[in-house]
Amino acid sequence: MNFNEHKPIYLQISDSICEKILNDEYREDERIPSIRELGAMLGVNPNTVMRSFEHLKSIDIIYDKRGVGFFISPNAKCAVKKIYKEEFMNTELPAIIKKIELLDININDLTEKINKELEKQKNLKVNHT
Amino acid sequence: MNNIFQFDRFFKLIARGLVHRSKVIMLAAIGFMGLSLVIFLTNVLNGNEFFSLNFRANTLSTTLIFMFIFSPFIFFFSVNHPKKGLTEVMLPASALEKYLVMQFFCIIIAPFLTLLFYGSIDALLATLFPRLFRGYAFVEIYNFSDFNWESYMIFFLMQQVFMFFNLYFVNHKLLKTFGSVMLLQIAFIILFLLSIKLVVPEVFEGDTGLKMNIKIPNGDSLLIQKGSHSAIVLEKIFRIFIDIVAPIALIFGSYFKLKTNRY
Amino acid sequence: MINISNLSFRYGKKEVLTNICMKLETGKIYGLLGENGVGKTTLLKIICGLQEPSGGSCAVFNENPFRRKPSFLNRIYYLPEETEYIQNDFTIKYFAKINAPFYPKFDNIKLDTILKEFDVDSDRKLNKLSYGQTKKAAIAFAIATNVDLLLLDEPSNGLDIPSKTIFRKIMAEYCLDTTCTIISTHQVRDLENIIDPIIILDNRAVLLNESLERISERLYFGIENTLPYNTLYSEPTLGGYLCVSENNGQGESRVNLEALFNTTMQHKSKIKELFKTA
Repeated sequence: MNFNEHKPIYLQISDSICEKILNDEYREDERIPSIRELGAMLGVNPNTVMRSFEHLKSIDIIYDKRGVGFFISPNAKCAVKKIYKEEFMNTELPAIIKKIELLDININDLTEKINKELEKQKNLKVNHT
Repeated sequence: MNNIFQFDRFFKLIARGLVHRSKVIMLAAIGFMGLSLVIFLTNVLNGNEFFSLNFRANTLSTTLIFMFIFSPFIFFFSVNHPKKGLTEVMLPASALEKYLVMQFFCIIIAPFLTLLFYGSIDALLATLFPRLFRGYAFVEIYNFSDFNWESYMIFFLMQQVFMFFNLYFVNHKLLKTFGSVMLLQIAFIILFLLSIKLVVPEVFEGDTGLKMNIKIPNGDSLLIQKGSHSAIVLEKIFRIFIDIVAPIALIFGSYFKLKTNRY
Repeated sequence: MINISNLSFRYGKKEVLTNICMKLETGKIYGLLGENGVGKTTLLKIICGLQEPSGGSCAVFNENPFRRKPSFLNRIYYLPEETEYIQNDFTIKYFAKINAPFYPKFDNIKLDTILKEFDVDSDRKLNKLSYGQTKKAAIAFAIATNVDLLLLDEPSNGLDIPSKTIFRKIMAEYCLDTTCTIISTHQVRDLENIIDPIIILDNRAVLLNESLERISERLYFGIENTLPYNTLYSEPTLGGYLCVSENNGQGESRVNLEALFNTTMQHKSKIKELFKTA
């Protein structure tokens, strides 16, 4: 994992776990690697991983069973979607809007392009299943 | 857990010490066995006892003394080195155990190895070829006339002096030790002569004929005739100093240095 | 676990360290940073009993390390920067065979596993291995002792790039919750993400001893095109300037260790003020 982003490492780890939830790599009630296992995989201080897990626990994405490990919460996928949607709307979208303004991008062209891409993505998914 | 002395740690240290010094021991083995063989072969080539039992015993005696006195340098040269000695100092054992192991190596193992490597080959060759090697070197050394308590104490003193300086000096050890020993000898002789001048000044006038045999480290002996009470007391004082005070001071000094050495 | 109070150290006439105070806890991997020659190695040596402080006190497990009691020594392991102490005519496995019995919690399986992860030839004599390989073998032994206090002096020095990555992974995997690990280093990039808390040492004081969490609460590391008015330190980078400033509600940012170090060296008193505990 490349820790290139500006975000604190523990949040980047949380993001990566959420991503895996979104693309079904981690399923609900499935056990995720322990703090030490994940630390060893990434070469990251276990305390940092622990912060990440505590963060995910606080927003109900994961839960822990004493002595067994950490598991993906039921409805985690929905929760992740909700949280990241909000982040997108509040953080990423304003940045894109700023660019649209700056570069004088036509809204209609933009909408068309977005719809085309969404269609393409949908077809790819259909073909895969 | 006893933090001062534990037998299991002590024996582990000895085992570890032997393993760590296996190269040195190997060299000693080859050296001494080789020496005995060379002596033997010379006899073979000459067809007779070119080198007599006395010579072989003398060789054994010399190598014993050499190994005994120089054992602190041979076995523990880098024990106080700031980089090479780190494993030893950080090893979980008490300073007393580490110190006793050092003494054990010098007082017991060193002569034992010499006897083992030289003496046994000599004995083996003597058993197999009694015509070329008569008698046994390790037996013959007991017949030496000057083998007595006084000589042994001098060797022990020298060994402890070397042990002490091995621990106190880090760089250019041998040179510094040699220099220090020379200085100490000179100081000792001056002290000795001064005290004789004070106590029995008649000696220097040369006509009283007092006689007394005192051996001092550089091998000379001064003759002062027995009968002068103060001279006898003086002799006793020096004897006590060489046999008791100096070794004890050196032993404590070495232990203290080992315990508080900084790296 | 470690309590250092008003420590000073003099080497001859030269004052190497003065007024050093710090408390270190178990279960953490501390990064000890400082300029060249500031006294990092000296501090480590005082902690493990190889040197005695000239003044003040250093208590490790509530004991004076300089007494070098066996019950103290078998709970610590010091890995020096140089490898001379381990150079010998035998293999690392043999070295372990004769030295491990002195460490009650030594784990041979751990040793083998780490040697394998590091790709060290455990059948080769130590004096025939390269500097990097010897270093790795030494690190493996150090970790396998399972001591309560592990002191590593520039462990990543001499390691090739893949080995540095493996080293971080090994640190994350094998440093126990019962072990306090102190890694002294110049190469912060090698150890980024693994060291937390960070200690920055100066010879007149400990400038910083904080977790990354607390550092990112008090300092903000941002990338800006123009330098904000309250910038403490900045350096050019992709996208403008990396700026370090006092965190005024800007949220958490990722701590850049090099920038943190430079900021601290340039603003010693400001940093002290920012992190003063009430």
